[in-house]
Amino acid sequence: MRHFFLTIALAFVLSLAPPCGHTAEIPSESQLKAAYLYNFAKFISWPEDTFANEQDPLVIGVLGNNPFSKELAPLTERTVRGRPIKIMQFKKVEDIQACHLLYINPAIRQLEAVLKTLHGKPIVTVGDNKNFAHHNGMIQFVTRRERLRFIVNLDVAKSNRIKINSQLLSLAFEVLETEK
Amino acid sequence: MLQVMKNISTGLCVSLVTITAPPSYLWAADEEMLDLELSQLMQIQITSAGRKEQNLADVAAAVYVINQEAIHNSGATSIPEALRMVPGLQVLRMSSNKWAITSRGFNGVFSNKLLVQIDGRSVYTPSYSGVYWDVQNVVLEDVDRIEVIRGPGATLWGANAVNGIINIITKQSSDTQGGLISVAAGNHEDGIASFRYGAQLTEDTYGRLYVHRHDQDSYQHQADETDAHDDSQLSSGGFRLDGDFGLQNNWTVQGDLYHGDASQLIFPYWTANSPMPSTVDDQTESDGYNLLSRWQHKISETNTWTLQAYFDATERDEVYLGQTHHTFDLDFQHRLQWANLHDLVWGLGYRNISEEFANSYMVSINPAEKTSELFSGFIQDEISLIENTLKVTLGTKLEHNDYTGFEVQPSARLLWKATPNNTIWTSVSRAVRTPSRVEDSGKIVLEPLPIPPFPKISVYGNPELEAETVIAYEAGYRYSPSSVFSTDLSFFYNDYNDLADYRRIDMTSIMFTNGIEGHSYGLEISNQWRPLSWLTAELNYSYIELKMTSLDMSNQVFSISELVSEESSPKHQLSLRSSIDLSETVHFNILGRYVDQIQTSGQAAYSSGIIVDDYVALDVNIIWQPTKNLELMLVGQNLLDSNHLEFVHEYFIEATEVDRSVYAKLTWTF
Repeated sequence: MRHFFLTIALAFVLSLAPPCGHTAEIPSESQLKAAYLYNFAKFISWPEDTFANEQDPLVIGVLGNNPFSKELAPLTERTVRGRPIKIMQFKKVEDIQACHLLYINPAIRQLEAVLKTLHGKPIVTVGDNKNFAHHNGMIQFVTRRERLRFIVNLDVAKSNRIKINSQLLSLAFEVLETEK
Repeated sequence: MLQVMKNISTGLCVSLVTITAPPSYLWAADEEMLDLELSQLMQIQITSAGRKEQNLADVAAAVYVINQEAIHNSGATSIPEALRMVPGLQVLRMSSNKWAITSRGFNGVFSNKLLVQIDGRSVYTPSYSGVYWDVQNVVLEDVDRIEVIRGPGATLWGANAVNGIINIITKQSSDTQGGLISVAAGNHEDGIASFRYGAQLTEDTYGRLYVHRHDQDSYQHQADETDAHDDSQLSSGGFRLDGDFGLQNNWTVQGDLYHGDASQLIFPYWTANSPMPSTVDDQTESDGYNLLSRWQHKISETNTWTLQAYFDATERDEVYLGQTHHTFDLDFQHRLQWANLHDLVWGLGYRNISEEFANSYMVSINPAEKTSELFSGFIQDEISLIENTLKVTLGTKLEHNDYTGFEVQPSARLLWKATPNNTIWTSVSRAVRTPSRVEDSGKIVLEPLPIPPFPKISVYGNPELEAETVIAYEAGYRYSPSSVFSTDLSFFYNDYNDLADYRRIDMTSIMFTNGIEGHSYGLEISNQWRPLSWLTAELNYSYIELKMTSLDMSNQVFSISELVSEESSPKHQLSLRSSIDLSETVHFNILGRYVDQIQTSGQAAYSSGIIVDDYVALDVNIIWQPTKNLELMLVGQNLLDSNHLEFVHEYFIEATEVDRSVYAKLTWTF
C-alpha cells in the first residue's frame, strides 16, 4: 500500500505544474450557417424585376434578432454574380421591403403567420424551426449526424418565382415537392 | 425505466455523456469557411445542441459509462483492460489470453451471469455460458463508449443478464471520418497495429473500414517461472455503414471478420487409456464473422421503431473441444412517449442458434449437432408520477427457450429526484440464467479415482436442469452538488435460487443439479472530482459478501461450488484514477487499484484452494501530442511488481502470473 500512496502523492505534486490554455476551436454553428447563406445566394436565381439594375445589391436579411451579425459581416466585401451583398436586419415582417434571402430567427413569434405573409413574394426564406419547410418556409436547416444540412420546399420556391440550381437541390437532405 | 437502456437496446446513439469529438478542421477565421463549397460545408462536424446530454442522475440502476476519453487515457489495449476502471466489476486476468470478468460475484473462466454485447450483438457463448474475451477485440479508438450496468437487466435484455450487462458501442461512421494508423509494442505487447479509414460515400451515407492486429507475449507460471505458453495473435477487420433516408429513417450495416490463435498449456489432460494426466501444448484457433443491420424509423419525435437483424458465426477449436455456432437474431422494438407521462417501450425477438461440436474424450456434448430457438417479448413503461421528480418503471420480459421453457423476468424501479442534485432510486427485479449446452448434455472428464483400475470421474450434463434465478433488491443515491464533485452510491441484496451445483451420483459420476441457494450483498461507490480544468480524479470502492449453501447432503461437508461462489470474487476493491494535463500537449494518467485476496477452487484437485493474495497494481501513462495529427504514448501497466497472480483457471490451466508491461504507442490521424 505504501507504494500506492507514494505514487498518488507524486501524481498530485506533478499536478501542481501550471497547465496551459486550450486552443482547439470547433467551428460554430453560426459560422457555418453564414457560409451556407452565402452558398445559397450563389446557387439561387431571383426574378430580374427584383433588382433595379446590374449593380443593385443582393440583400440578405435577418428577421428578428440577428444571431450572427459578426459572422455575416465579411459577406459585405464579397459579390454574387457581380452584385454586392448587403446585410439588413428587420424587426417586423411589415418592415421588409427589398430582400432576397431572409433568415428568420427561430425565436420569432407567430412564425406560421409570418411565412404566410411572405408567401408568393420573391424571397428565399431560411429557418431553423422544426417543420419550417412544411409551413411554407423555403429552406430549413436540419442537423444530421452532427452536421448541418438543409431541406428545400420546392413548391414554395415555385410559387415565389425562385429558381434553385439543380446542384443545390441535389445536396439537399430532403426536397419537398407535391406530385405534379 | 432506464433511458440508457432504451438507447442501448434500440441501438440509438443518444449519448449518455456528451462526447466532444475533436474538430476535423480548425478555422482561423470566418473568411476561410466562406470559401468552401457547399459539399465541404456539409462535412464539417458541429457540436450540436440537438445531441441531448442524457443525465446519469435520471437512471434507476447502477450504471457506469466509460467514454472514449477515458478509454484513451487508460492506456488499455483491449476491452478487458478498459473494464478495470469500472467500480464494482471484477476484472481478473488468469493468463495472457484468458480473463475472468464478472459483476457482483461468481467469477470464473466461464462467468455466466454477465451479458456482453457489441453494438447490440450478443457475444455470450451459449454452449459454455461465458464470453471468450480473447476474440472480442475491437479498435478501441472507434469505441464511442462502454456502458456497464451492474445488477439484472433481464427485463430488457433477457436471460443471462443476471448480475450485469456490458454494452460496447462503437462510433457511428460519420464520427470516424478520415484515417487513423496506430502502432504499439512493448515487452508484453508484441505488437498492436490498427488502421481505420472513414469516408463520406454519398451525401447521406458514411462508411469506415478497419484492420487490426494484436499480438501478445506469454506470461510465466507461478510455481516454477516456466513459460506459460499463453501468447496470442488476433487479426481482425470490418466495416460499418451509416446512412439516412430523409429525416425519418436511418440505417446501419456493419460486419467483422477475425482469426485468432491463442496458445494454452493444458494440464491435466486425460486420455481414455491412461490413468496419468498429460500436458498438451494446445493452440486455440478461433474464426468468426458477423453481419448486422439495423433500421430505425421515426414516426414522430415521440414514436420510433427499430428493426435489427444479425448473423454471427464463430468457430473455436481446442484440443478438448471444437465448437461452431451460427446465430441468427431478429429484434423489433417500438418506443412511444405519451404526454410526458408515459415512456413505453415494447419489443419482440427471435434467435436461432445452430451448434456443432467436435467432441473429445475429455469434453463431449451430445447430440453434437443441435439447433435451438429462443422467442421473447418485453414491455416496459416509465411513468412520471411527478414530472422530473418521481417516476416509476414497470416492465417484464417473457421468453421461451428450448431448455427450460417459459421464463418471466419482471422488474419494478422507482426514482425520486429529491432536489436537482440529489437522486434516490430503488428497484426489485427477477432474472434467470438458462443452462448451457454443457450443463444440459455435456460430459467433462475430471480426474481418475485413486484406486486401480483408476476409472475416471466425469461430470455429466442434466437435461432436467432448471434455470438459476435471482431476485435482486437494489438501491442507490447520487449527489452532485456541483460540476466539481459528484458521488454515486449503490447497494444490492441478491437472493439466489437453483444455482448450478455438482451432485455425486456414484463413484465416478457427478451431475449438474440445481443445488445451491444463497444470497449476496454489497455496495459500490464512485466519486468524481474535477477541481481544475486540467485535473480530474475518480475514487471507486466496492464491497461484496456472498453466502451460498449447497442443499445436497453429500456436499455439506465440503462443497467446491460453495467455495467457487463465495471466494472467487475479491471482497474489497479500491481504485484511484487521475488525469492531469501537464501542458497543452502533454497529459499524464494514473490508475492505482487494490484488489482483495481471493481463494480459487477448481474442479481439478490441483487448482483447488489456491489463495491469491491481495495486491496493489499501478498503471501510469504519459501522452504527448506534438502536432494535431500525431500522438505518442508511453504506458506502464502493473508497475509495482514484476508479476503477480490475479486468478487461477478452474479446470486445466496452471496458475499464471500477470507481468509488468511497458509499451509505446504511436497514433497518426489524417
